[in-house]
Amino acid sequence: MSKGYLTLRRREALHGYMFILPWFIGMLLFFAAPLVESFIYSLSEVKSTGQGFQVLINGVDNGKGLWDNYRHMLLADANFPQQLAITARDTAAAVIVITMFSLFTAVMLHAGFKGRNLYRAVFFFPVIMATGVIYLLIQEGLAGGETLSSTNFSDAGNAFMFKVTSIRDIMIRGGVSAGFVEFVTTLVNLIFSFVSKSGVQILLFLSGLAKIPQSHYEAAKMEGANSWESFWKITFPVISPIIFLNVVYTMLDSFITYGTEKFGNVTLYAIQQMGFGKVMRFDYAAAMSWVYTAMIIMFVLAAYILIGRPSSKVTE
Amino acid sequence: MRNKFFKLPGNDELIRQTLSQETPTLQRVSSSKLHYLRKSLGALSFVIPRRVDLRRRVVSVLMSVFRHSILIGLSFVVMYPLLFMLSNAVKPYAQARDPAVIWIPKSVTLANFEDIISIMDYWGSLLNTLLYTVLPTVLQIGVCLLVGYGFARFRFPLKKPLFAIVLLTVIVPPVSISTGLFRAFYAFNPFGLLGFLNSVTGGAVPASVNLIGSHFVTVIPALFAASLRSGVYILIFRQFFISMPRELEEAARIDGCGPLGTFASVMLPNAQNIALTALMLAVVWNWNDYYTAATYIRSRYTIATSLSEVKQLLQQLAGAGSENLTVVTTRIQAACLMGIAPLIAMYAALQGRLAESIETAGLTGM
Repeated sequence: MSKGYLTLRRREALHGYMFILPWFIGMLLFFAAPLVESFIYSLSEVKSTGQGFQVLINGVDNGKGLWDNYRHMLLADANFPQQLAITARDTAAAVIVITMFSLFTAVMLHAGFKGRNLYRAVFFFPVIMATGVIYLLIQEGLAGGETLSSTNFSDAGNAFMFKVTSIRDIMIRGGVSAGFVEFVTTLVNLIFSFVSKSGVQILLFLSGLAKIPQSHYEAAKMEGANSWESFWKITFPVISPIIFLNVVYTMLDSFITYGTEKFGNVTLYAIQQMGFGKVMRFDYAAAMSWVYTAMIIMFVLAAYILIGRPSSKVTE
Repeated sequence: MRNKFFKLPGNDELIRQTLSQETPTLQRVSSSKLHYLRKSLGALSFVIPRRVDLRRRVVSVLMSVFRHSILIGLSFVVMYPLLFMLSNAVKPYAQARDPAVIWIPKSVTLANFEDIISIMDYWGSLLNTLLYTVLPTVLQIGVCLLVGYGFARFRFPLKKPLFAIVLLTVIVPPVSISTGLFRAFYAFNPFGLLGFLNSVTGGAVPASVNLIGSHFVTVIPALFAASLRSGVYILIFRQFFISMPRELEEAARIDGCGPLGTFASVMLPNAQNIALTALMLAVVWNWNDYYTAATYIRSRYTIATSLSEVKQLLQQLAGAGSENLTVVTTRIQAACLMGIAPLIAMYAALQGRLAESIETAGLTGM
């Protein structure tokens, strides 16, 4: 029994390693190795041969410059920078709207009233539908079925979702400017997409709100605070770490949810098509995904710097 | 200090007036005493209605109307796709273009479902989905529970940097490692082990195996907590286990349980709700995950991949004529509905557990 010779501390460490060992192996095999490999690809020229792949590192095995893939992407590629910008813009919008909406909804659902359990069940329901293919099929119907025509997910439901055409007609006839009408109709169309992406966030806020004892609100009421004041003085400080959690969750959700050529996450679609579509350019797809990853990390860091650190405002 | 500025609205005003007339000393009554007095005088306020009370009641009724109207409106937005699916899936397709029929069809048919079952090979896809995504998900959650426990309860060197890597696995999108991962599955040779065995045995063991399209593509990463969003579950479980009191484990340890025994006998039963919640999320995400299925499983159709192609199949069958569009529309809705029907059933069954794990605040644990 060699165990007997171990100190308590060492045995604890051993047990800890034992528990995380499966993850560690998996991380090396299916995360670290592919990550390093895809970085090497991004600096190379990958040729498909009959038996498999031939990897020629740029500048070493061929005449190209080491960073040629990246240089091409940023200087010569007409699409990718634009796709990145669209994804960044969409994510920023989603983060702001979804965080505010889910906080609003959670506060409303938290208050004790009849039927709140039913509403909770309803609001979490989109989590079941609002992912993957189903979500794309729904979204597509919502957009009138024309945006996705080039993919498999084409015009499934032409008569689908909030058709705001009649409202649009009325507004245009009423002399409202076309740009404003377009803005309003886009917003109406986006309601579903935001509401349906808020399930987990509402859940997280609710679980944070559940930790605030009711007596705090009663005490505040006794002191003459109205509900607006007690929200900012009691609710907000407790849930502000959850706001950060939700912001990061919404970001990542938006960044890793698969889209199509013109809809949803266009960047992911472009990378997938480059790597596994008809073109099969592993090297360039790898470079694209590295730039994309860098952008995501920048987003998360920005969120951490802006709202992640415990600020002095909360303790005041 | 406190009572000097104490404002007593409504009933409290009445109580105070009553009190001050009878016993002036009780004017500075503490809030808890006031509470009892208010209770006992509750009946009085019913007999003598006061204007302030009426206003409050009106405000609270208005608030509740406001709240319910917003929530019902949003619920409609949320449920709209499901209602639309239901309404269309049971419509005979002649009625899909009938302007007189909007929500409730004149007659109900099951033909759409029957067509879809044969067109997209529903039972085959369902079986593939269960084998390729649901089964690995259960393994994944089990392993993530262990890993989360390891990070929550034991002190060991390099714990912080290792946990930072867990967070990194969450941040890096699957597509960034997909090129390397594809090759890892295409020529599977973990740590060069197979290559080593190949050279030792002189070729009896293959130098590498192609796992693309086999069960192992989803099962092996699940066993090593490396499949879709594993980092999220590890994070959730770690937070949960940290919030558990240590006394529970100490009792089990005194009874002679090893760390695994303690985990299985004490921690797991307590983590039931949180584990089921995570399992439900994981099943949903994997179920609808088109990306993994399309990239690594490829030839075998899961619900997600066959749903993505059902439209094309339908159009081919309908001869792509525009008058057949309605046929396609109603059948697609039936396909969507059937695709998520098992998820809806699961949600209905686990919904209570979900609510519980919210109430006990086990989800964030911060």
